[in-house]
Amino acid sequence: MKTFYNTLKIEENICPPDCSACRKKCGEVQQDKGLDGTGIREVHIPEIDVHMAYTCNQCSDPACLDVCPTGAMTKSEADGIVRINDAKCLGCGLCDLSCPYGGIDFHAGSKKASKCDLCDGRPQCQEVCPVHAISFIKARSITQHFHEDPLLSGSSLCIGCVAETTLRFILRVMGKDTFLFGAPGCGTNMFNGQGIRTMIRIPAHMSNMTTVPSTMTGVKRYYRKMGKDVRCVAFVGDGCATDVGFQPLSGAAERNENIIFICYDNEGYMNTGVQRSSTTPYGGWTTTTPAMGKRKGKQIPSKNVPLIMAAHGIPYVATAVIAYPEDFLMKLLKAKAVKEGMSYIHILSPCILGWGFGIPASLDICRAAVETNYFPLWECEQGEYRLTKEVEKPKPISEYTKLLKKFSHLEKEDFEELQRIVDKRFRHIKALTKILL
Amino acid sequence: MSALKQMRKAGCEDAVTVLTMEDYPPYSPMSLPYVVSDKVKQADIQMVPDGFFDHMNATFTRGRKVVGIAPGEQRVLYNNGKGDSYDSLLIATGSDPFVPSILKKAGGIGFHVMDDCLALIQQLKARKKATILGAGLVAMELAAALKEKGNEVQVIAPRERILRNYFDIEASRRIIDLFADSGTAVNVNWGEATAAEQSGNEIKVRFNQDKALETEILLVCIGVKPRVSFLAGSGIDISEGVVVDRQMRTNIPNIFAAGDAAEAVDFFTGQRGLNPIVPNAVSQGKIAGSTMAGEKAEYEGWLPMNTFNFFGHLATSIGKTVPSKGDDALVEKDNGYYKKIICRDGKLLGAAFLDTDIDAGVIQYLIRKRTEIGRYKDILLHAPREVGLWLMNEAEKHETISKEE
Repeated sequence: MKTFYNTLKIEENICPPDCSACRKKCGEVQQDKGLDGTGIREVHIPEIDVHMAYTCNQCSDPACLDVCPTGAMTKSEADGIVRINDAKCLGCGLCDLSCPYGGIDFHAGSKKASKCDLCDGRPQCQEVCPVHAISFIKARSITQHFHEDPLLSGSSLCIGCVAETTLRFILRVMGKDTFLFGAPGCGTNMFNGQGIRTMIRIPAHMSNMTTVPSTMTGVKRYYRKMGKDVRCVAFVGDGCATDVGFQPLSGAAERNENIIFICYDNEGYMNTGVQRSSTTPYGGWTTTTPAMGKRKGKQIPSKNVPLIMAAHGIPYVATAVIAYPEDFLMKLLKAKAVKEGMSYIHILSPCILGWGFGIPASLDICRAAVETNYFPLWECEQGEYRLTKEVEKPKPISEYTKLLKKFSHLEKEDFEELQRIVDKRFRHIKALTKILL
Repeated sequence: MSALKQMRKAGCEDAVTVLTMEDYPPYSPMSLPYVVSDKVKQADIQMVPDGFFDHMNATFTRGRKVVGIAPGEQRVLYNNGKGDSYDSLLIATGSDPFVPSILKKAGGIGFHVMDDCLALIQQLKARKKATILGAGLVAMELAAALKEKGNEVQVIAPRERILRNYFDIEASRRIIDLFADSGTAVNVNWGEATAAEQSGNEIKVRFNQDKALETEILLVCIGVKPRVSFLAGSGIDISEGVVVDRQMRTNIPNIFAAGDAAEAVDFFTGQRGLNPIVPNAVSQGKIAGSTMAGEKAEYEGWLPMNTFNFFGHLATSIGKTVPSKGDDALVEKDNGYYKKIICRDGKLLGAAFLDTDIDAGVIQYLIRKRTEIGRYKDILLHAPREVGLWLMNEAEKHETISKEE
């Protein structure tokens, strides 16, 4: 994982028509610096009802920097901001000619290029946006919690699978003195590697699917007895956590062992050829719940495992996706802080092969799952339920299912049924958040 | 420089030596007109910060001219009789201005390297009246720079159209008019110089059809040609420039070429040709660096493009600006601006803008990605900046969400 930097995030198509608050504010800020451009620009195209704003991406490999004939363009290693050194700038416009994203504002009149410099860390545009379309995402809130990355590069997971990024993220937050536990599944590649090489630099143990929690129990109790504080973290798929290894998991939760159990849920046995599991959703295609003729994928809803785990009364349970890193980080830190009792985190992990989608879409799918309430983000801390990312206007389930081939056979009544299941589940978790202890 | 940076980015730790025949720190020839106009100081056009080569773990040797290459022994030969061995070699020697000998003898100077620039600045101390032969980008940039500096300057264009690689006849005429408005005459259709002589401070040049002129400074900017003469006899395949494939490899193993010296493929036709401009040189350098570091990279071809600002006006062109048969050319204009886009089969092939609010790089993106613009070409012409940004954004999303849809 490379360094993260703060960044501006702009929501699409929520700008009010004719609004130019961000550009006007930016213009004032630039003018104070003696420049007459702007670093952000509203775009209104009434013909096709498009209203949004654009700014520089502060690219990691900026095209503008490559072409600048005088080296006036620089990217700071400290804050990632791409800046123009006005004294060296020719005003030749080559940066504007090379930036594919419209990040440079070039003025022939004054022979000057100007661009967004995030106001050196305090962007003014976001403060004046009347609809909060612009937000300033702070990377430091995440990176300050990062330890050295114990995973080396190169796993044999499918290209674009988020499981690797997810495990990397987990381990960077967990830090040293962490023991990793796993069971047969896609993640095996990251534990055992291929051939004689592994990509992991911390103790990692592979057990049978049925013995992960009990193995963790033994290791944790041993070290506790030796007076050492180590973290035992499991990273297993839904086959192990929710089906084959569920009894020992439930047993460990009942005993309230001090372990952190993380399930990456790809909704099936993806490593063995995409068979259904108890978390395969209603209507979802797998090789054992096919979609042909009258058969339309799995005909029963999935098992709501995080809720079942919360019902054990363990100190911490949460759902998470890598697409919301701040949320994910907060949950990992809470799980890490639990010194008495068990933590369980359930992660939705899209499977390129089994779900059927294009390689770069994993994060979009994670986001859509949250935005449609298909996979609400919540936590249950000491019995108290809380939605950690409440979606203001949930999108219809079709906005999620349309991204995935595994739902492509569904018809209108199937979507209605799936929507009903999603709504019912969301009402359930929402109701739980209102219970006063 | 791009190749070096790219090699290091790719994790290549091999020893690298960068040679230049000039005696200055690295700079781009395109900065030179701005030194003439005093927009920047000579010291400020240095491309890389001090300590750059140490940071890159590379050796920089200046004032060292390469006079030959012996691929069999893997050696480069220097003008001081010595040489060095190499494992891989990048030829990025750029280009030389073409100055016919009759003009050179009469005191005509080219304008391409720092020494030319310093010679011109020296001449300007005693003389004020300058004539520029040629009507390409260097000629026009230099004319604007000299005028801004307060010199009397005229441009002699051999043909009717100026900047003919970039603009159609109408845009060309409008640019000529804008030059005239600022007191700089652009005389077209003068053809080639046939004779020239110097007496004292005066240079006299005669052209066909009894045209003649007198000037104090004669700048010859009628074109550049790849600086490849030192490669004669090396066995390296040369047409006009060094012939390279899409990985910037020459016909000889471990020898690569990029930039003005290289003859790489055209984006549209896939045919090899010259296009000596900075953005194409930079992207070729990056491809060469990747290939030399053992990475897979493929050059998608060069596009003619430029952005030219003069007397507060801006002329920009990318790709094709004169339609071929079957192309769709759309124009919107009034007294203050000129906009033209060329499309074919719903894809953008090129665009030219004069005094229009645009993001040129976004237009280049739409051409290079062959973005579907068919339904939106009219509004793209009308509001190129807004619609361009939106089309780019949609294309980027389409690429990330799903290619299968």
